[in-house]
Amino acid sequence: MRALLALISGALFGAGLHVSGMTDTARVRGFL
Amino acid sequence: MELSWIYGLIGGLMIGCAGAVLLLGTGRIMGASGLVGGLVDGTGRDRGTTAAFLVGLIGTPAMMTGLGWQVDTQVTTQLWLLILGGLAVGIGTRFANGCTSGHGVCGMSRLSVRGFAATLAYIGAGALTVTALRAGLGL
Repeated sequence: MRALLALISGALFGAGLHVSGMTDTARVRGFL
Repeated sequence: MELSWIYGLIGGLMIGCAGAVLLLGTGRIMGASGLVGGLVDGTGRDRGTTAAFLVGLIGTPAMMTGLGWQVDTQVTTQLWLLILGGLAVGIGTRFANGCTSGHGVCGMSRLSVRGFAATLAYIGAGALTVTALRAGLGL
Protein backbone atom coordinates (compact mmCIF):
# COMPACT_ATOMS: atom_id res chain seq x y z
CA MET A 1 0.00 0.00 0.00
CA ARG A 2 2.86 2.37 0.86
CA ALA A 3 4.51 1.65 -2.45
CA LEU A 4 1.26 2.29 -4.32
CA LEU A 5 0.76 5.61 -2.57
CA ALA A 6 4.37 6.54 -3.32
CA LEU A 7 3.84 5.64 -6.96
CA ILE A 8 0.70 7.79 -7.10
CA SER A 9 2.56 10.64 -5.40
CA GLY A 10 5.44 10.41 -7.86
CA ALA A 11 3.04 10.26 -10.79
CA LEU A 12 1.17 13.34 -9.56
CA PHE A 13 4.47 15.16 -9.05
CA GLY A 14 5.74 14.26 -12.50
CA ALA A 15 2.44 15.07 -14.17
CA GLY A 16 2.29 18.38 -12.31
CA LEU A 17 5.76 19.31 -13.53
CA HIS A 18 4.78 18.42 -17.08
CA VAL A 19 1.42 20.20 -17.02
CA SER A 20 2.90 23.36 -15.48
CA GLY A 21 5.65 23.48 -18.07
CA MET A 22 8.44 23.17 -15.52
CA THR A 23 10.06 20.52 -17.73
CA ASP A 24 10.53 23.22 -20.36
CA THR A 25 13.98 24.69 -19.73
CA ALA A 26 13.08 27.94 -21.44
CA ARG A 27 10.13 28.42 -19.11
CA VAL A 28 12.30 27.72 -16.05
CA ARG A 29 14.91 30.26 -17.22
CA GLY A 30 12.13 32.76 -17.88
CA PHE A 31 10.78 32.17 -14.39
CA LEU A 32 14.17 32.93 -12.89
CA MET B 1 -6.70 36.32 -23.33
CA GLU B 2 -3.56 34.35 -22.49
CA LEU B 3 -4.51 31.32 -20.39
CA SER B 4 -1.13 29.61 -20.00
CA TRP B 5 -1.17 30.55 -16.31
CA ILE B 6 -3.95 27.99 -15.85
CA TYR B 7 -1.50 25.20 -16.59
CA GLY B 8 0.88 26.57 -13.98
CA LEU B 9 -1.91 26.66 -11.41
CA ILE B 10 -3.14 23.16 -12.22
CA GLY B 11 0.41 21.78 -12.24
CA GLY B 12 1.15 23.45 -8.90
CA LEU B 13 -1.99 22.01 -7.38
CA MET B 14 -1.00 18.55 -8.61
CA ILE B 15 2.48 18.92 -7.10
CA GLY B 16 1.01 20.05 -3.80
CA CYS B 17 -1.35 17.09 -3.79
CA ALA B 18 1.57 14.79 -4.50
CA GLY B 19 3.31 16.08 -1.38
CA ALA B 20 0.16 15.57 0.66
CA VAL B 21 -0.34 12.01 -0.64
CA LEU B 22 3.21 11.01 0.25
CA LEU B 23 3.16 12.68 3.66
CA LEU B 24 -0.29 11.44 4.69
CA GLY B 25 0.12 8.02 3.07
CA THR B 26 3.65 7.12 4.12
CA GLY B 27 4.70 9.77 6.64
CA ARG B 28 7.57 10.89 4.41
CA ILE B 29 8.40 14.36 3.17
CA MET B 30 8.41 14.62 -0.62
CA GLY B 31 11.99 15.85 -0.84
CA ALA B 32 13.28 14.54 -4.14
CA SER B 33 16.94 15.17 -3.38
CA GLY B 34 16.70 13.38 -0.05
CA LEU B 35 14.81 10.47 -1.56
CA VAL B 36 17.29 10.07 -4.42
CA GLY B 37 20.27 10.66 -2.14
CA GLY B 38 19.05 7.98 0.24
CA LEU B 39 18.84 5.50 -2.62
CA VAL B 40 22.29 6.40 -3.94
CA ASP B 41 24.20 6.28 -0.65
CA GLY B 42 22.14 3.51 0.89
CA THR B 43 20.90 5.52 3.88
CA GLY B 44 17.29 5.64 2.67
CA ARG B 45 14.74 4.16 5.02
CA ASP B 46 12.33 2.51 2.64
CA ARG B 47 13.97 1.78 -0.69
CA GLY B 48 10.90 0.12 -2.19
CA THR B 49 8.68 3.12 -1.50
CA THR B 50 11.34 5.49 -2.81
CA ALA B 51 11.78 3.45 -5.97
CA ALA B 52 8.01 3.44 -6.56
CA PHE B 53 7.94 7.23 -6.15
CA LEU B 54 10.75 7.67 -8.68
CA VAL B 55 9.08 5.34 -11.17
CA GLY B 56 5.99 7.53 -11.02
CA LEU B 57 7.99 10.77 -11.14
CA ILE B 58 10.05 9.85 -14.17
CA GLY B 59 7.62 7.54 -15.94
CA THR B 60 4.58 9.80 -15.94
CA PRO B 61 6.06 12.74 -17.92
CA ALA B 62 7.65 10.24 -20.30
CA MET B 63 4.29 8.56 -20.80
CA MET B 64 2.54 11.92 -21.26
CA THR B 65 5.09 12.87 -23.91
CA GLY B 66 4.55 9.54 -25.62
CA LEU B 67 0.79 10.14 -25.62
CA GLY B 68 1.26 13.45 -27.39
CA TRP B 69 1.59 16.04 -24.61
CA GLN B 70 4.84 17.48 -25.94
CA VAL B 71 6.96 19.94 -24.03
CA ASP B 72 9.66 21.92 -25.76
CA THR B 73 12.60 20.78 -23.66
CA GLN B 74 15.88 22.16 -24.95
CA VAL B 75 18.77 20.33 -23.33
CA THR B 76 22.35 21.15 -24.21
CA THR B 77 24.32 18.56 -26.12
CA GLN B 78 27.49 19.49 -24.25
CA LEU B 79 28.00 16.56 -21.89
CA TRP B 80 30.49 18.39 -19.66
CA LEU B 81 27.88 21.10 -19.02
CA LEU B 82 25.23 18.54 -18.09
CA ILE B 83 27.62 16.81 -15.70
CA LEU B 84 28.72 20.11 -14.17
CA GLY B 85 25.13 21.23 -13.74
CA GLY B 86 24.10 17.93 -12.18
CA LEU B 87 27.01 18.02 -9.74
CA ALA B 88 26.20 21.61 -8.80
CA VAL B 89 22.57 20.72 -8.10
CA GLY B 90 23.51 17.62 -6.12
CA ILE B 91 26.12 19.36 -4.00
CA GLY B 92 23.86 22.36 -3.45
CA THR B 93 20.93 20.27 -2.29
CA ARG B 94 23.16 18.41 0.14
CA PHE B 95 24.47 21.69 1.56
CA ALA B 96 20.91 22.99 1.90
CA ASN B 97 19.68 19.66 3.25
CA GLY B 98 16.89 19.72 0.70
CA CYS B 99 15.66 21.05 -2.61
CA THR B 100 12.69 22.75 -4.22
CA SER B 101 10.28 19.93 -3.45
CA GLY B 102 11.43 19.39 0.11
CA HIS B 103 11.90 22.99 1.22
CA GLY B 104 9.73 24.77 -1.33
CA VAL B 105 6.67 22.56 -1.60
CA CYS B 106 6.67 20.63 1.65
CA GLY B 107 8.59 22.96 3.96
CA MET B 108 6.77 26.15 3.07
CA SER B 109 3.36 24.46 3.14
CA ARG B 110 4.17 23.31 6.68
CA LEU B 111 5.16 26.92 7.52
CA SER B 112 8.74 25.85 8.20
CA VAL B 113 11.07 28.81 8.74
CA ARG B 114 13.93 26.76 7.33
CA GLY B 115 11.80 25.97 4.30
CA PHE B 116 11.09 29.65 3.63
CA ALA B 117 14.73 30.60 4.16
CA ALA B 118 16.06 27.86 1.89
CA THR B 119 13.52 28.62 -0.84
CA LEU B 120 14.34 32.33 -0.80
CA ALA B 121 18.05 31.53 -0.91
CA TYR B 122 18.02 29.13 -3.82
CA ILE B 123 15.46 31.04 -5.90
CA GLY B 124 17.54 34.16 -5.35
CA ALA B 125 20.77 32.37 -6.21
CA GLY B 126 19.18 30.89 -9.30
CA ALA B 127 17.92 34.26 -10.47
CA LEU B 128 21.33 35.85 -9.88
CA THR B 129 23.07 33.04 -11.75
CA VAL B 130 20.76 33.28 -14.76
CA THR B 131 21.12 37.08 -14.81
CA ALA B 132 24.92 36.86 -14.60
CA LEU B 133 25.11 34.22 -17.32
CA ARG B 134 22.85 36.24 -19.60
CA ALA B 135 24.82 39.44 -19.03
CA GLY B 136 28.25 37.83 -19.14
CA LEU B 137 27.96 35.03 -21.64
CA GLY B 138 24.76 35.81 -23.45
CA LEU B 139 23.20 32.49 -22.37
